[in-house]
Amino acid sequence: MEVVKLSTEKTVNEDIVSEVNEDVIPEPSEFSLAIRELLKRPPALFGVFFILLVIIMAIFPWLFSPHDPLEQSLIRHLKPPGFVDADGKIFYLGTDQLGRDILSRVIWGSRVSIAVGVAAVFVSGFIGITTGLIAGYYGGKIDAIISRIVDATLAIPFVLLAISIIAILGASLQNIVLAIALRTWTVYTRVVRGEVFSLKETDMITGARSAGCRTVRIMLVYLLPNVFSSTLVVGTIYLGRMIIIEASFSFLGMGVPPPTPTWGGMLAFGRGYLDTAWWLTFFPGIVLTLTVLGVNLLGDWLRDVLDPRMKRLDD
Amino acid sequence: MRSYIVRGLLQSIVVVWIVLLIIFLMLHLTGDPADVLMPPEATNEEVDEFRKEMGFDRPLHEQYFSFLFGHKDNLGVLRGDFGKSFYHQEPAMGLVTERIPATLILAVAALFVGLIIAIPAGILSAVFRKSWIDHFSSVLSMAGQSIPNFWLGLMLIIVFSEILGWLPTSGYRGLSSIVLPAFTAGLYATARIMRMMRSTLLEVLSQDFINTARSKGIREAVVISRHALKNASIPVVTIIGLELGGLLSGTVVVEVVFAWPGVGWLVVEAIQSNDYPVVQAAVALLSFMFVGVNLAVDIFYAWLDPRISYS
Repeated sequence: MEVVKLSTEKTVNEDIVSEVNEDVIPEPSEFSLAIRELLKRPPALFGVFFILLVIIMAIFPWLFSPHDPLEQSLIRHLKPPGFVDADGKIFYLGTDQLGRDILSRVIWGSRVSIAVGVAAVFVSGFIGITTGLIAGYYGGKIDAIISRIVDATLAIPFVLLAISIIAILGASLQNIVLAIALRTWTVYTRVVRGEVFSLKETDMITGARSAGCRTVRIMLVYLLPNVFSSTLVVGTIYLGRMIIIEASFSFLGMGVPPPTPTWGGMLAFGRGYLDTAWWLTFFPGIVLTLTVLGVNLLGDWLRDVLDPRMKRLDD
Repeated sequence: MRSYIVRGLLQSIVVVWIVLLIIFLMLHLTGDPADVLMPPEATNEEVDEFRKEMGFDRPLHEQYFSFLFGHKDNLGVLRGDFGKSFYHQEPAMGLVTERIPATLILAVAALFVGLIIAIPAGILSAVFRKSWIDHFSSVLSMAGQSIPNFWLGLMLIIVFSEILGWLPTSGYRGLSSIVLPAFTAGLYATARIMRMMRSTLLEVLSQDFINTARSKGIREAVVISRHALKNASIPVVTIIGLELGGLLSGTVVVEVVFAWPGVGWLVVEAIQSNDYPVVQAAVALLSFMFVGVNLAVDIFYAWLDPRISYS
């Protein structure tokens, strides 16, 4: 009994202390709190740094790229990293079999990876959030139908189907994004549906409903902001996978067609020179890996900060 | 239990039907399948003739019916007949089934590599939580989820085949040729199984019956092996099954990297030569196996944990 009493006293004291503190020191903004959190975790900081770098590279490649990524020259084909040509131009990461600068191609190649990754996250997120909201809010038959479609989609071997669809429709940016989104929307549906199921019974929603709010308004104004943080976490975690999937499509020759540089396409070209020119495959691959690693580290951190309940989400 | 199995079976049948529907509609996505299938340099007359020959000029529902149940000398996909390969002039399904053993061997070998790394690493990192071994395996699992497997494959070829000369770069001969492909394909599964092993074991170790066992004076090794691992095995077995399903259809890129003569490589070749009967047969057969493995995992799961089938 005494223990309980003591502990209540302690909380009361803490409350007073925190109230006093709030009066004296202004509460730090959410942004600066997030930065402070981030500084405590070096891997996540690395992730943020690397992704920002790649995104800036993808938006303004000409600022970073030392040479034209498409300029060919058979005189300087397959030159190792650090090669200097007759004009004194330096090729830091070497050249490929057509004499194109690897560094410039890696920088320009970030465009397709980032564009496809981000677009696929948006498209699948849009479909998934919409279906998840509908399934969770209405429940019953509508939920049963949507859930069965989700189960069926998950049971389809996705990579094979996606490459066959791309093969028929033709490899363009939109078709690749669509083929990827065809499967990944289900992840968002599941997460949002689950969240809405529990939110639906809260006073906030029953209150809004009894006040005569229309369904669309309830979904957009009351439910959507509350499922935002978990979808952000899922989106970040999946961004890395999307980038890998795009690269593997390009590697198989089903990606954005040449001469547009893509990381996967560069790996496919370099495959024939594994014994003589390792830099053709090493550099695009390491940048691809670090990008995905950065996204994953950021995703892990976001999950811990925003949504501790999802710590066990492994898929 | 029985109704649970029946429900799973029905659901699998629906999934297979949906896959077959997608496979059928795939060719009609652009509007005219004859256009997709014929080479671009074909004349209009040739395309027209081909359209008639293949029956693409008939109404869609009629085509769907003969796709399922057969037409003229074709038995229909329900009896495993996907027509002849345009390229090899042989039954498409036969070409696919020829390649199944290689894919199966690779998937099982990859899973084996995954298990011998993931299970001990997962157990050790749960038991010695926050020790160096836990940190090391969490780095390993993060890497496993971030490194694209086809790039890892290329790097392994450079190191172990080109520089050290220990293992063959590609091909399908003997035990040494499977080491690199299996390791490459198994990387992602390793990371996932390891995480699952660690997190379920941690959860079990925090439960009351473990404390009871410890307080009875049972040795820690026995507590972990007899009491904890047994209870942690169900989710791990499930994810192992799911990973096997994923590996069966997910080794496409690895097969291409190592010139491994499995179904994935066949599909990529068939796509490049516009050989759609082969693509359709391969996607259908792999989907069928994938669905079958998932169903088996579901049933096994329910059998291990009676709570599932009653809820």
